[in-house]
Amino acid sequence: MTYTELIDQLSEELNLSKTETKYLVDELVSELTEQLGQGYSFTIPDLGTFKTKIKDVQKVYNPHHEKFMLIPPKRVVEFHPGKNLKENLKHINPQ
Amino acid sequence: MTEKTSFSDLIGKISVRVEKSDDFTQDFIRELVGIIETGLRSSGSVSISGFGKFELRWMDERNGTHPQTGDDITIPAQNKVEFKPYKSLREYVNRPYARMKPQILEDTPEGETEPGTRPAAIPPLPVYEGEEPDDEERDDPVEDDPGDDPFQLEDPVYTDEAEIPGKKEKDEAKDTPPFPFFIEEQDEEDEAETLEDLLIERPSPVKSDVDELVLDFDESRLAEQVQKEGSYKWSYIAAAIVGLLIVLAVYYFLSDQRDSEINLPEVPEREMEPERLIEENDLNGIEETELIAIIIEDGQNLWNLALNYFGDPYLWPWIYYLNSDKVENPNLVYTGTDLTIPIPSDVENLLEFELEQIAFGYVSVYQWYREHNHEEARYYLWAAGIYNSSVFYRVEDRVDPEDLRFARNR
Repeated sequence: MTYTELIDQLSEELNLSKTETKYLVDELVSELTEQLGQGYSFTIPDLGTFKTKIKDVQKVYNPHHEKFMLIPPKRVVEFHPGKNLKENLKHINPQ
Repeated sequence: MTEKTSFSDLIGKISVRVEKSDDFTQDFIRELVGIIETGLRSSGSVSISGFGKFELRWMDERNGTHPQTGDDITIPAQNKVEFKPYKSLREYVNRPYARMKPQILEDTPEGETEPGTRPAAIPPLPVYEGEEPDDEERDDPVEDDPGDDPFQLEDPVYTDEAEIPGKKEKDEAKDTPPFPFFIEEQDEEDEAETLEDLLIERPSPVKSDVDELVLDFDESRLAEQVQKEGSYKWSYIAAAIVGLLIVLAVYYFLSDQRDSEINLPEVPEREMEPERLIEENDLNGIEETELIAIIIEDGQNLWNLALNYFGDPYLWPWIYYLNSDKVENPNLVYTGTDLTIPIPSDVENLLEFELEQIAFGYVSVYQWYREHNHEEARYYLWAAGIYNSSVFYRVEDRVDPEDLRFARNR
């Protein structure tokens, strides 16, 4: 499902114009992004939990240069699907 | 940090943003979640522009071990819901670390001896140049650089370059060291900055008094010592009481032996027990955090020590505080230094005095930065207040009033 399809469906459900819906989704996304950027985690009921995690330094081998490299630490987003979502989608077979 | 925003807070924030009622926002999110689920059901993926893509991934049947019993089990084939953040989200979240670059290890003996092996065999081994012992003798920009670096990390993002005197020098210094990889403690700083968007730096350099700082910490140590001595005193008293009871018991035993009453000695023993218990509880409950001694190895720094020992890298000033006699620059620990590391019984619920120590750790980091005229120093003062807000009253006379106001009102 593309972003436009999502907006179309959502605007239908909510009886709102597409522009309005898009604005709402964008605002939601920027709020969520900000929360994650500040290191907060949050749970959206029926969807799941979003949080950030700091990945420690990694030492990896670069086969091209034949040398070891240190990959700096990184903060990444983690998502854990909620129980309902997980169970509901466990056995379906999307085309 | 790992704090959680509750769903209702989230709803509230979004409602304010879009100027709608909380109920409306909640409905809106519920609908959105419903559509995400139907989208996943029908097409297996849902993408939200600027955020990320939810996807179903089919996991084939595989073998695994039961996490509790350790038995071998077969995990049936099933779908897994995955979320792949898009670039803008990834970059926003990783912003504090964005300026760090991968570093090629030039002299890796393992690399030469086993050139063909894959990295999987080699355990991750972080190494940071700023802390390597040879830098100690060299007296070159490398040593100073880590201190300056964090601010470079953020400067281009938030502040006007022209506002920062010496910026160019810093950039040059940054290019000189052969290593592009910087020390991690800085991220603490960046974290602090990310919290304050669109910040404009206002330099307010006021030198703090080093001697006072030292005195302060001696005082607090002294206080600790006194507390400890107090608890020892208690144990002496308890020992004395126990001894007295035993003497009495023996006396009674001997004097009443004629009457063949053997029960008597047991009575005082029973009395002793609860007393001992209380004693032990007191010792555990008051001011004992287990301490261990470690020796710094190549590549360790306070940040990753805190990460390894506490699971929370932001507690690194605690280590700094407990080792303030051995570590001067919080960004720089030398290989081979002995450090004392506290092992809190429960990192999630730190005790009052532990939080206090962390707060004082932040204050001493603040003072170090203030001394070295880093404008970001005030963020450390602010962080101190997070761990123990009463710390502000206790250091009031030693910190820059402007910084204190900032830390309090933030």
